[in-house]
Amino acid sequence: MLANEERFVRVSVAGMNTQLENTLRFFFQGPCKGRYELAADESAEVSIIDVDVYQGKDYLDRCRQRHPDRPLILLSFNDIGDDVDTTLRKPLKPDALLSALNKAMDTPSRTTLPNRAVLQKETAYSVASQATQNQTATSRPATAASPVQDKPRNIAEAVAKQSAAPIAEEPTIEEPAAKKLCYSDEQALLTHLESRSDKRVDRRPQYDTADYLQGHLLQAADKARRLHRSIKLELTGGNIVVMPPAIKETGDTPATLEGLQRVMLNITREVFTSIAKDPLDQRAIKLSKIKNDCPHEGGAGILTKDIDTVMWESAIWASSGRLPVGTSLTDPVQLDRWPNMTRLMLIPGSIRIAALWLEHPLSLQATSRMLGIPESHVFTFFSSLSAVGLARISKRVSQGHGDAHGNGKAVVSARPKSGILGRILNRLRRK
Amino acid sequence: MNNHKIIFTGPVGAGKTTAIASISDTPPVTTDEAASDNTLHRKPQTTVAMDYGVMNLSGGEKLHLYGTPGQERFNFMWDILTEGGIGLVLLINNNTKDPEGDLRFFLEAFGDFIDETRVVIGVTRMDEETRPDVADYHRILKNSNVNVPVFQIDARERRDVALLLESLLYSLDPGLVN
Repeated sequence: MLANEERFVRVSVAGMNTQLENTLRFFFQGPCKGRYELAADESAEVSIIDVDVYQGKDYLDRCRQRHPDRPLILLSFNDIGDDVDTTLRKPLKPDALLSALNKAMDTPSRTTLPNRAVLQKETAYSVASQATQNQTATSRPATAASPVQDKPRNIAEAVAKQSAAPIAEEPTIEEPAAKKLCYSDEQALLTHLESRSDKRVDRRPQYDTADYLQGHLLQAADKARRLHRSIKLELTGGNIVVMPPAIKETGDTPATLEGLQRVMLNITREVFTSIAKDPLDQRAIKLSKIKNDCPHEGGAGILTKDIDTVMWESAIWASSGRLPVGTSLTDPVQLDRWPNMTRLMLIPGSIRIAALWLEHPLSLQATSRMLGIPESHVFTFFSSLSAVGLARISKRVSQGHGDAHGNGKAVVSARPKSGILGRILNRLRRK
Repeated sequence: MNNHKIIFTGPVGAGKTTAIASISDTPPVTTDEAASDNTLHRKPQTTVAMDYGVMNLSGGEKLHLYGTPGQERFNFMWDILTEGGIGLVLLINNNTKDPEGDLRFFLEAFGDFIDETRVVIGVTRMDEETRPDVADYHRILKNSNVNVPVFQIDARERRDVALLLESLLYSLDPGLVN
């Protein structure tokens, strides 16, 4: 914290392009809280010179000649053996730069500090501009043509302006993100979950994937991979074709299967959802092998997706707030990695749950309790993760952060920046 | 009044300028210029200095969004730029010669910052080039013992960028509540 917010040090730079100047500006305005500001060479109290650039040594000599009492901070990848001025080795570290600037501030030659208004009138960065113009092609961006020189100042000014500008009033209460961000399908899912939760979750119901479209898709995908043939699922109201993975042949090495299997959906969205929700009559399903160069491919009204996306969606609808048979409610969940959430149907809380499980494997019940997310949502998310092989129940108990039942409250305790993170979250959820 | 920042980085043409624009409350100030030399075939305009956007938060706070210049393969001031930052958004253009190499390079270049905060990865242009896929990126990350969000995104879509940022926030604090 500064003793006097209006006191600051004027710093000129030489041997830097506009991008580096901007980086320093942001650093001075942000982490340094305005304690330093870029200034014209003539009015600066400290100069930072990149001596690695073409003519860098010339800038140094010129600056020493013009301002013999001015503290200099030299930047270089090399040890330049300067015993008069402060030399900072690249890459530049914030602490080292701050230390060097503080040291420069303490030099007796610097007597008076300017009023901020005076500095704002200054527009010329003579040494810096000269340096930018004289840089070699290797030390500056290839496209740094003359029109660029004025624009970075606009960025800096934009930062200053934005930092000072009043803002519109924040809405008081936000709806959950997924509700706002969701597609119509996701909204339909929420409605569906809410309508079924009272009937099912309280009785801790589970479901057998084999009875649902999810199980049949899994069976078709296995078969397609094993036989390397496309497998067609004939359903009431349409059909689904699961294709085998591509074969990769590289020289003399044995051919391998590569990439995700693709699925062609010759079925409307509404029919897919309807079929995926309820147990299927086994007699109404026909599974058959077809040629790989399926005539349906690319046809009108046929949607092609990868198998994981289709499995995910079918699991969500089949689950509807329940869990696959045999799933433990009290053992911890092991999540292998983040799912590709921007391309999947999400229910509220999915991102929070994934982040928690990756850091602290907890049981399904503990997760619901700890995050305050309905069990039906946690169960549905787990079911979809499980369907694409990303999550499973593990016997390994989370260590150091309480037990798998979520009795260790430290697991999700607030962190130092939680306040600002929450405000960013609220802003993101506001359209 | 505190001002906070999130850094957007990645190779040329990855969509940093566009991603910032899609979530910024003000039109982003950018320094895109006509590209020349080796970047011309990828993007007619390229950022030579820096992108800047802002999100207005409650209580008068600001979240600054900084995009690094795409042409830079190395910048001796990366640490200065990231100082005090909340986290890193790394965007990878899938339709380049070596997106996996880009991923490794930027993770290494911002290694210290990532260790102190968190990173999320958005893969763009997957509709133009499907390989590597998201699972491939995770395999690379697993080899480096890194397990972070990797999402396919369209940088023009606010929803995609917002979800990516949400995952960054929850990675920083899974217990975060709104």
